[in-house]
Amino acid sequence: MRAILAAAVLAAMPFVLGAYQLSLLTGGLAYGLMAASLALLVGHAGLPSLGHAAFLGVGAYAAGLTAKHLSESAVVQLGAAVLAGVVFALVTGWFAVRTRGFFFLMFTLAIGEIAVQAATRSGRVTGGDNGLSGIPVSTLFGLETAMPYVVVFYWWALAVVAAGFAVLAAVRRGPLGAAIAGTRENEARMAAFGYSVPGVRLAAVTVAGAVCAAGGALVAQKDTFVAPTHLGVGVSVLLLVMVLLGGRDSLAGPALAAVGLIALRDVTSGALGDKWLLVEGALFVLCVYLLPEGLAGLWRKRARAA
Amino acid sequence: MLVLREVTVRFGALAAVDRVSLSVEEGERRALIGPNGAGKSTVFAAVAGALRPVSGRIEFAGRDVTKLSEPRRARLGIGRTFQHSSLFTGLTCLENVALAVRARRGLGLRAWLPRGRRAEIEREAAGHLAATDVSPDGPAGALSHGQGRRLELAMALAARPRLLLLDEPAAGMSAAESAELASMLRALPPELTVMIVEHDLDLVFAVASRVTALAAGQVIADGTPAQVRASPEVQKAYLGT
Ligand SMILES: Nc1ncnc2c1ncn2[C@@H]1O[C@H](COP(=O)(O)OP(=O)(O)OP(=O)(O)O)[C@@H](O)[C@H]1O
Ligand SMILES: [Mg+2]
Repeated sequence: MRAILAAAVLAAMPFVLGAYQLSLLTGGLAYGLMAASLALLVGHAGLPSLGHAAFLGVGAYAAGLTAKHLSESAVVQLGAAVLAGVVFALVTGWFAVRTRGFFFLMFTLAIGEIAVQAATRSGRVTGGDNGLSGIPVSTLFGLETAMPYVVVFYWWALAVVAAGFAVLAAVRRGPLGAAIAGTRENEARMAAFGYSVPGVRLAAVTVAGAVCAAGGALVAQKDTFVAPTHLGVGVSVLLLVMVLLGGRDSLAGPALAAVGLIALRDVTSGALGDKWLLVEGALFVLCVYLLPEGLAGLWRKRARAA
Repeated sequence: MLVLREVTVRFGALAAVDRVSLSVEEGERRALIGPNGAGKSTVFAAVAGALRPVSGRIEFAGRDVTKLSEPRRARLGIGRTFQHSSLFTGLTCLENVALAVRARRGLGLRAWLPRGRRAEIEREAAGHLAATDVSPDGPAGALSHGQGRRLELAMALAARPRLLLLDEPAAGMSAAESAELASMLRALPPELTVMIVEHDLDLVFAVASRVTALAAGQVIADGTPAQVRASPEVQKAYLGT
């Protein structure tokens, strides 16, 4: 119910916001979806990843390359991004889920850096250091000829984000979600029940990776540009800050934190420039100490008190 | 039903289980006794597949399972409880058992289940909880020790094993709780094979038809409860008389 209300309010935003703010919100929503997908790993599966941006990048490059060489249809690009996300999740996840805690952190960090290197080195395909530019504007069912592109694209992004959230929410609530939580709480018991613990974790990584790659496709379509830095540890940490700030046991919390952070960065970046990273770091430290359950925890506490 | 041939499990230099051979018939109630550190839990871990023997062979239901993974063996029908409390403390008691029910039905990794299926699973889980006298609501972490031990039994039974390994199910229970547990165990279906590790000898002799005694990783006696009780090695190693 609350989700439908939120979607309705968001769908009305083009009537309220100007083109610039709308475009900013589009980016915020895409990052919100990617942060929520990371929350599935960090909070629900107990797998703290430092390489989640790799999925953003894989989705973004897959969508961008599809746009340049195959199809200008936004839907086809999205499909390619999700497929690439699934394949990347299966290949890297197969190894990653066999590590734990600190080693998982280091392993995912390494995967992210390898992805950056791969994007930088294969210049002929990806544009190397300069990034993938010249991505054509994607078509959106022909609606873009009838209405301003920012508005149509915003609705497209909102639909993708809503679908991604529906997937994440359904997975969390269903048997697979229970199994994922079970492997977080008690691996030995799950194995004795007959669950393959690496299998359950790989499923979690695959769902999170596919959803994040969908967010990456939106980034590529919106900016018509992808850079190797999109895959890097800087973006991974940003996603992690969103998750911790919003609350890792929640989906809406990280999404809200994402929209808030993207807006905050936009407002302050002129004044702060590179010092934005300091703000991000300070927020990180603050939420670890003051908000262990994130904004969602604050909300829950208020609901309990009322 | 279960045959161990010269099974050895090592932790570094220590042979925690040292060339253990034993054979358990279908429907048997077998107790595994021995002093602390004898290797009882390690035998269970090797049978369940959580630990790999360095040598020897384990057969279950006529099949060599030595190289099979733990989840594979669970799906073949080996179920267990753990010596140390092994509940999902953040989940409700019903959900603790439902995880086992879904795994047995092969539905554990479904993204989604229709309402009818979900209700069926919850009914089955509630049935197992009723049989072990645990209330389905409330988090498993809030249970008393005795209730927690019974929940563990319900979780193991919900997997509908053919061989059930119970590692000190009465640990920390009062005499009354332990007697209640004994009557629950006696009421288990006769075709279910049960192996039980227990220090409470009253419970052992109330439940087991045969007893295997271990000391320092080796079998020192094997037979009826009376034979094992009378064995001089057992008296020396375990009963301390
Ligand atoms: N994970 C492990 N790593 C190293 N040594 C272990 C490990 N688990 C058990 N051991 C050692 O193996 C031996 C057998 O342990 P095991 O737990 O099987 O004994 P047990 O008969 O179940 O004892 P208890 O009655 O105390 O439960 C002990 O000496 C123990 O210290
Ligand atoms: Mg033991």
